[in-house]
Amino acid sequence: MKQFNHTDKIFSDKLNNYSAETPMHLWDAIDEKRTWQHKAALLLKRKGGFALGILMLFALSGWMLMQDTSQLVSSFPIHFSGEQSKIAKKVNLVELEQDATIHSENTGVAAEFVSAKTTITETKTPATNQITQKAEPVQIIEQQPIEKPIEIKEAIPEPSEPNVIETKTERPIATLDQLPNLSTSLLAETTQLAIQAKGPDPDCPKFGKRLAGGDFYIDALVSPESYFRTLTSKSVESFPYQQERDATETMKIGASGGLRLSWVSNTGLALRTGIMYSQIAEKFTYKNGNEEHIDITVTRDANGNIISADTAIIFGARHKVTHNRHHLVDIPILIGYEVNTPKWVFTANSGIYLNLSMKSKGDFLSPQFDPVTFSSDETNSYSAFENTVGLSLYGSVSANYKLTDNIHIVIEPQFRYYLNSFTKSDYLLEQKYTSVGCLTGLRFKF
Amino acid sequence: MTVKELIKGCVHEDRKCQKEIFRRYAGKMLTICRRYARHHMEAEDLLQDAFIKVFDNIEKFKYKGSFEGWIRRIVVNTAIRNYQKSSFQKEQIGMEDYVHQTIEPEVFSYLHEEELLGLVANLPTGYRVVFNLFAIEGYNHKEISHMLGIGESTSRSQLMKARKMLQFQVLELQKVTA
Repeated sequence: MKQFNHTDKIFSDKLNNYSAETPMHLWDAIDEKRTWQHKAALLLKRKGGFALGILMLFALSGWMLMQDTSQLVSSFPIHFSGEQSKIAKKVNLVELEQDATIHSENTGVAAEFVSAKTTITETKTPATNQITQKAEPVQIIEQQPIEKPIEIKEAIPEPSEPNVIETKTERPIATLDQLPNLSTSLLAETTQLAIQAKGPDPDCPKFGKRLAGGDFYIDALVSPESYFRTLTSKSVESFPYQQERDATETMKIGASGGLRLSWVSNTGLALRTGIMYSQIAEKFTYKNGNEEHIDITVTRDANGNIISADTAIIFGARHKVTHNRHHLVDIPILIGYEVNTPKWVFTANSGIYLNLSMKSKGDFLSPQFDPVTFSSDETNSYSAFENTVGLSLYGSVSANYKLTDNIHIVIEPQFRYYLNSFTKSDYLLEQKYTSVGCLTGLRFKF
Repeated sequence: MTVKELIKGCVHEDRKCQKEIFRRYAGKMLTICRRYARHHMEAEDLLQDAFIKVFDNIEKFKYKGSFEGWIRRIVVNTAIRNYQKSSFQKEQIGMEDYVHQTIEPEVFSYLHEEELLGLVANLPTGYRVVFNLFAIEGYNHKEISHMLGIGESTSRSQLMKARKMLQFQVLELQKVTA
């Protein structure tokens, strides 16, 4: 308990709320010191979480996009050849006529036969029951009266699984009875072709197993990294220590690199793993203009006995600069989505990095504000850092330029947020990092 | 503008809000800096550093307690860091010259604030910091020892010596005026 002291009270009463004239001349100096670089670094530090969120959202959007497009046929175009191509065209023509008739029923033109002339898009139509969606607008080229509406609608079964091509679907074709007014020769030809078409299946791909197959890639990547450190004091008392560490340490450009193995499915889904190395670089600067160094000189006789010991206290300035390093080895576990174009592959990735080991070496201020050495390899050094740092979140987008079909140049801006503190639980401060960088390198298909 | 509005402005790096915060609090904070600094120039340097920290960390203020108290704590901490950088805690002043004559505490109450500031500023840095933290900021010796990285007994002895020096200075002042 504090003892009351009259002298203290007088000083406290008079000085505690005493205010001098506001030194506005200092404002300009403060404003100048807070440069735009200083503010930009602060902004990034403050909004780091937001940026991570945006990247994650982007990755999630990519994933959702992949979900939406997974029903599309990625291995189109189906190349028709020779007679089969003609057959398919003719069959589709008949089917279009059916569809056009159905359409005409719905629009009240049922009393007339409608013949459709359309251009069939061979390479883009994902499913036979969607042909009318892919055809150009129906043009009525001939109208002839018929006795009664044609009831073809019942003859066309509803597909059991929308948008999925069943190559063996038994799809009825309009018969001569149902199409009485078509020219006999055309119908005969069409029917003959349709019968032929029901023979051997064209060489269509199987679309049921979409994740089967895919390509494997190996990426060799390196990146410069900008690290942003957050020191947080675990108690109010350690806040001054936090401030002092912040003041004596600055971040430097780090680096990362490694090998990454990717499997990319036909749908664009990508799974990646590998081994990555990262180096976090910091600079510790310590200045003390009034350092005290005690030097003890022991004098011994010929037998090794101590004759005297001189103790000298040396005062002087001390300026210490140390380049600190944290070395990390991680296994990335990523999921991504890739969009393939003739010359480029665009990807979005997100996932985690699992840290295998971390080694730290350098100097910093101890809680007693003395410079001390920390090293993962030296047991006698100051022990503040963990040997592993657990998980970190990762997000990236990339553009890969195809040098050849099997070799790509990778440019991958990436973002990484370390979930855990690098420091031990009994240390006064939490030390976390966020990094941004741009992985560049080569990707090989094998 | 209210303090809350000013703080929000500062979070968004609004220069006008920052200037207004500085205008409102800098005078009082300069006094605090003067109590810890050796001279006026050093006090101004401390104030600059402290306000840069205030603006850099203002988003961490959670509206728990007064904003002025929060700034004050940053100022005091900045002053302490400055003191620790210089390692003045190792400074030893021979107390044998300071007579054992005591004076009544009331003598101090006749002095103006600027005179009191002058007396504090004349203390050796180690004494000055401990005296400020204990007598004016209200910390106890345990807290001070933790903050400064010194023993509690050191804190006590430095406080005692600081008080003695203040009394000595007043006596000297009386001699001069007499």
